[in-house]
Amino acid sequence: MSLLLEAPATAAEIVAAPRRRWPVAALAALCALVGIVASLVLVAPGAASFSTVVPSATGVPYVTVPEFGPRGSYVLGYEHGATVRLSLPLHNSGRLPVTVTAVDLGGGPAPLITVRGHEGLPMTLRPGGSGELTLTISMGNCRFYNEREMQTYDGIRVEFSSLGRSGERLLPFDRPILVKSPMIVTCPDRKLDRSLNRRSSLL
Amino acid sequence: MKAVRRLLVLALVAALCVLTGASGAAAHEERESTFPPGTGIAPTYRPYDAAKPHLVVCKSDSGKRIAAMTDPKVKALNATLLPQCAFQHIQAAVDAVKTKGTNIYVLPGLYREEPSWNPPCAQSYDGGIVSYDLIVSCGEVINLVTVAGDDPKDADIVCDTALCNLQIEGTGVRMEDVVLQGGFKADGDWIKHNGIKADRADGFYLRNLTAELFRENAIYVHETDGYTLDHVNARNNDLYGILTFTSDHGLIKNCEASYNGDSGVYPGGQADVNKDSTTTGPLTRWAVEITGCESHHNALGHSGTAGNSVYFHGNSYHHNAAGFVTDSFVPNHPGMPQDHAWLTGNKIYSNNENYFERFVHSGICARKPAERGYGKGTVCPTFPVPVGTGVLIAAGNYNLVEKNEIYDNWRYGAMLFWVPGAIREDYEPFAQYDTSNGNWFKNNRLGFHPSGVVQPNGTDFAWDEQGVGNCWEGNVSSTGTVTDDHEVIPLPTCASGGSVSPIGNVTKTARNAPCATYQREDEPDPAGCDWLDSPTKPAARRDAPGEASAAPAPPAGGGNATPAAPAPSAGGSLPTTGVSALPAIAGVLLAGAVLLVHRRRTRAHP
Repeated sequence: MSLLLEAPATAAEIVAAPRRRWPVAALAALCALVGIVASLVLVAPGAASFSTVVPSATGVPYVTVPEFGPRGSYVLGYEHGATVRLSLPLHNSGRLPVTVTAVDLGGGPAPLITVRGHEGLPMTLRPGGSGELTLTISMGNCRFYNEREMQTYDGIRVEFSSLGRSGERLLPFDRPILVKSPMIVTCPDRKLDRSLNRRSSLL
Repeated sequence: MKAVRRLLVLALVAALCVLTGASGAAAHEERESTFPPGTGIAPTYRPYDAAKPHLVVCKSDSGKRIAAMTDPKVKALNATLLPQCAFQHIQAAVDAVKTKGTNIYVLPGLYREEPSWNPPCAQSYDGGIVSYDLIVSCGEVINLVTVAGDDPKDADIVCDTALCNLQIEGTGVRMEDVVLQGGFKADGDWIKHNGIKADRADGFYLRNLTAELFRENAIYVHETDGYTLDHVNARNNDLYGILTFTSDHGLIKNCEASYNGDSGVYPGGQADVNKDSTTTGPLTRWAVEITGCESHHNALGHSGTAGNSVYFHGNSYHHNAAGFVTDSFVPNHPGMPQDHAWLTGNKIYSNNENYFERFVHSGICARKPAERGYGKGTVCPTFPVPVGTGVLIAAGNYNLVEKNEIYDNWRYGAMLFWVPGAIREDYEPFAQYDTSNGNWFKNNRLGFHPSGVVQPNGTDFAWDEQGVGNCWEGNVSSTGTVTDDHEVIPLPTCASGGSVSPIGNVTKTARNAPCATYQREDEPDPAGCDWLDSPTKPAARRDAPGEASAAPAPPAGGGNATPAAPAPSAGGSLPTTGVSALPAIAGVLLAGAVLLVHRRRTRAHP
């Protein structure tokens, strides 16, 4: 109400006022824009999304047992010295493009299967896009496992970039891959003296 | 949060190992092996009067030991044999055998077999697989005493040398009067893998001695058709006390096995003489008969991957981590999947010894072998077992468990579950569901100490609700009602035809989980694994008269099942590296702040 008691603004004042407000408003808008852009760039890796990976393998026996384990299992037959092609279809289910630059199957020291090469990297996936990554893996470390051991590969860890920022993610398989250690008759490197076969000795 | 998620993933990884070797049943590393023809018979004992060729082994103090004997009949025989002693080492006598059907008498004493420790022929052995040819040419690479009966030049595995029908007998009053001992080298490692090995030695008869302190097995019978182990004691070994593999027509009687890191008695890869039978029931033909044995204070009293057609009766298995175990886990065991064990009239009780906590988790088993305390109660389990379980069938078919006394096993009286064929390297589709079927648990007494005192099992029966033709009938429990762990399918009766589901309860499968990663050296205490925890003593348990409170180690952490590990969310929900939405929020807040300040300034300075 007090404004009603004030003297009416002059024409000059009416024209001048907007001149003072525009720089401030522009600065605010700029800040917001910079913040949003910066945020997009910074959160891009976190916003990336991949679908669950359904792996398949050739070169050795590969069996699906849907009822073995909470989500079922794939069992990859260990054949010492064999080379296996492991196909991993990747799907970008997020809203930003991603480029997968590296992958790792894990497995700790002397894993039963070791990645020796890959096809398909770097792989750029547009939002909604898919691609297939093929890993060449070797089987050569059975010496470090006893005859009843098994390794489980639950997913693949990928390194990727999105909008110039890098990220890392474990992409779970729809079912884990189980790799069973063989007996000594099919693992010529194994020693009967278990103390010679300790993985911990490699650390 | 990141750590929590990682833990969940690790838990899942473990969970998905489900049953992957997580049973206590075990296996051993061996050359490619096959069944013998199956035409032999278990040999009968040849008394001195019937022993034509015979050789005598003694030690320098045998005479003194004989002089101290109080049994006049045994003393007289020893006095007769002592002057005939021509060998100081058992292996030397074996090497001197010229005629089939020879008896070797081993007079009282401690036999270390020093010439076998490090002979020139063993210098180049690299620790790998041992062929039969090598067994013949230099069995010392792995055995303290080797009896190899097959001529390696022929193609068969049938005994055809002078070592066929060999009888080796200790002449003491007790099994412990003749001791075959391995022990340790100066550097603290084991001297030898095996004590005495009968390899393709059809008709082998071993009697009245003790074998102890070996890296693998004290007494080992391999690819042999017809053998008897009679009054033998196998103790304090890192793996097995008595092991028989790919053999037939065996008789193991009146034995004792104790303080072994795997099992006391292991008949594995046994001749699959009933493989074509789909009948569960008393056997008329078996690969090995085990009777009158006492197996105690081992990780497992009994185990056997592909322990086929085992007639197991009149035994007492107690105070192990688990009592009787058989399985279909491990590849390269002829006769898979396991089938047709017949357990009847046994006492399987008080299998609650937690050697995992006591010796593995404490770090004792990580010491040099000589420093672990073998012979003083130490047991270093090589494989995980659900501590407190009486009978465990970890994938097997047509096994009959009847009329046994199963009591005071604080986790489960008996447990049955399925394992797919792929785990034993059988990748055929039909093999994925070929266990566990046709197993019957009938007319057992559960939770009753022979004195009448109540000593319940933690749960009488555990089952993963899988398989066709499995049934439980006529069992009597001290708890009034037979207890079980069913969640969906109650234990079917045999009259009903038994179970009907090839698919099991996945939740139960997952519950057994993380223990699969156990390895004594590299993964001694898997996170989330409750199998290695001491189960809770049943509240209703009462001490039997005269029982010196046989309570094993007190419960640690309870014996309740671990919930199934959750699956990771699909779509890759794991965190990324070091970024968040904070910059966006900060940017918007900053913009808002600028606008707010501007508005106030506008109002203040119109």
